[in-house]
Amino acid sequence: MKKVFAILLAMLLVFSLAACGSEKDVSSDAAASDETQPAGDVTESTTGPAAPAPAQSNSGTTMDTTSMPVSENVAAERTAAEKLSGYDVDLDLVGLGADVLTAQMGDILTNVDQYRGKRVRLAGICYANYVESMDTTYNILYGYDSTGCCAAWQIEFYGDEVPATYPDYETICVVGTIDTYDEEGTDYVYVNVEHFAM
Amino acid sequence: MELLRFEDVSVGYEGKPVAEHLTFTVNEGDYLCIVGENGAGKSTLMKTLLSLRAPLQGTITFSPALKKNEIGYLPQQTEIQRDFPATVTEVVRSGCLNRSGLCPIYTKAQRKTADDWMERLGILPLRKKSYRALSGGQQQRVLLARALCATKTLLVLDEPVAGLDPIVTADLYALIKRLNTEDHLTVIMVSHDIAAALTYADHILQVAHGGCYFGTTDAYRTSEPGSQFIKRAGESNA
Amino acid sequence: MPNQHGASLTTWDSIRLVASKLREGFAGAPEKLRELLTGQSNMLRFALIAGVLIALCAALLGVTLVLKRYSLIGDGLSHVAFGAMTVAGVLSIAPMAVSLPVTIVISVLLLRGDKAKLKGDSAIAMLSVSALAIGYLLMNLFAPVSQSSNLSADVCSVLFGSTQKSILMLTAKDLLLCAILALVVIFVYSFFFNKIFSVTFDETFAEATGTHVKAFRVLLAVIIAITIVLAIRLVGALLITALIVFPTLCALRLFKSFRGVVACAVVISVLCAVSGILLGAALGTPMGSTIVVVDLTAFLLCILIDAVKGVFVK
Repeated sequence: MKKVFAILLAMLLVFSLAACGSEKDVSSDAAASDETQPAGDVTESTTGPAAPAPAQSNSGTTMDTTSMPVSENVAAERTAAEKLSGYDVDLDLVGLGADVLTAQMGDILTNVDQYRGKRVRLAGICYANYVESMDTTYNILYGYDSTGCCAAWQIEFYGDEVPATYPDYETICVVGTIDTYDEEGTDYVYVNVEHFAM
Repeated sequence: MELLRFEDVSVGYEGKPVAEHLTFTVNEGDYLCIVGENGAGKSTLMKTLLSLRAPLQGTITFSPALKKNEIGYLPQQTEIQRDFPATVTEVVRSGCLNRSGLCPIYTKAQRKTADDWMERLGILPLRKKSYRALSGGQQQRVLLARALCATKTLLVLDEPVAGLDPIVTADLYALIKRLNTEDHLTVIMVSHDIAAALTYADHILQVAHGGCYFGTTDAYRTSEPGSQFIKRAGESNA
Repeated sequence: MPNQHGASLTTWDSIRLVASKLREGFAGAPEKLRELLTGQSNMLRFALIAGVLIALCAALLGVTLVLKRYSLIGDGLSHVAFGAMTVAGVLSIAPMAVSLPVTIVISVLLLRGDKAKLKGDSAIAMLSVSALAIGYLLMNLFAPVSQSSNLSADVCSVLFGSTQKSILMLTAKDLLLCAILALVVIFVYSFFFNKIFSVTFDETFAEATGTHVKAFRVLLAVIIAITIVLAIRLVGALLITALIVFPTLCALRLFKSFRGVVACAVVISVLCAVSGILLGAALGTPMGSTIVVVDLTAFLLCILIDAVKGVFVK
């Protein structure tokens, strides 16, 4: 009798997860993505500017969350990301949880060869770092961890679309490809920006 | 044949003796009951006997026929055990571990020994039941079966009837006596119950501060310390 | 938090907002998970493998610890491991190289039993808070000269198992080390299963009949320490007790034999860990807390089942 209950419990746990069915009609057609992917890479392409906000699903949410007052950071991120929601990307890094995003960015920086050339959409906080000894300004994009207290990840970004000067500590969104550049013998990972939104 | 001998042994903790000048012998087939007042050192003596503590002084000689891992022990139950999730079979079989060495499973012979003892003690029908669901008397029988799995020679019991009602107590005493006479097990029992000791045991060891009395039961009854103890115990029971 | 539109949120609004975000999260979960599981990065796959192994070890040891009334030792030892890790950080040594030996030593000292110099729950309490305080103090004192860029983040990540050193960021080497240690624990526990039962059930009997109880205590202490150091990676130092305690408590309500309790605890622990990891990845919630909440839910379910069973059976 007890064994039956134990099995029941196990099934309950499993089914409670499987019950998260989504009626979101997203076509994950590979035709939309530019690069040829290695086997096993399944990412979604956001098709068309249909989605009004990146994280919202059209599976019957009755609340219109875009018009609700939210915290500054979230609103800013949403606004910036919205502007770039119409592009096809291989890896959409907007709307992930902070933990997952940190881990994902960590993975990109460690295994950069696997990600080279991939198009990503990424939102975060920007800041220009001028280093005197090198006489160069580095554009840094970073994001916070899930506790909101500390910067957990960062990556550089450059491109024609990036304005020459921009206010620091603003939330921006970029769409671009991952690449590296070499400076004094070390490779640095950066986003080659194709589209920029603030 | 002599199984063990204590010669002028002192037992205690951290250098402080609790009982001194203990001298007695246990032969094969004996039924020895250790009596005495609270705090006299009975439990400490028992632990020393089982090599759980070293003696402070004196010599203890074990016969070569009695190896350390062939003593069956029935300790007092702890709170943790009363609530422990285990079937009767698991508990009884754990008595066989002392001779398994490094083997991780119970051999067929060991399982048979466990089943035989459970049957002999009348608890075979309970073998799949949870230990914590049993009554006090049944739990003691289970623990007794476990102790019996560990030995063919010597059974050491620490207050086996503590907390049991009179009928169950009598049953258990009778059972232990049968094990002594029919299965030829040597029994050493620590007990508060002087009346039971006089009834069943053939040797008595009375532990008191400063010394002990050791002798056969008959001799004990008529001896000076023995008769005094019996009288005092009788008075407090009356 | 005030927002830029000037009107602050009422409590009810905040709740509705969070609820809708969760609903969105659940709705988007299957795709996100599929992406992460079959995607390029090994994050989630490694996390799942490590999570299963760690949950397994924690469940095995949890049964022994809970039955011996040592439930809070996980807390004490994890704080000690935290302290050790900060010392390692200050000295710029790999954290595990310091935390593993130190935790093992303290574990042996705590679990040596009657003859231990440090005894009982007061010893655990003392070690636990001392290690935590010393660790944090050291981190702050050495912050200006330390290599790590971010003090609070490191503390957060060790204590809560999220952010920078989370279970999602295992390298292949990390995973290998974790797997080896976990398999050692599992092997030892299985090999000595019957003896561990005997020592847990009745130590006095085991010792009197010739089992080397002292050696077993030391062995158990060592594998407990290993499991806790591994589990810090999964749920963080503050939440380890959950991994130890919940599966056993669930199993105790459902099964009555020792074998059954151990098997059930393992199954529940692994299921909860996997669910927690997948939920955390899908909803973006911190992984450690998610796993613990799933464990709690399982426990409440078990209480319910037990109560219902009490009504129907017998």
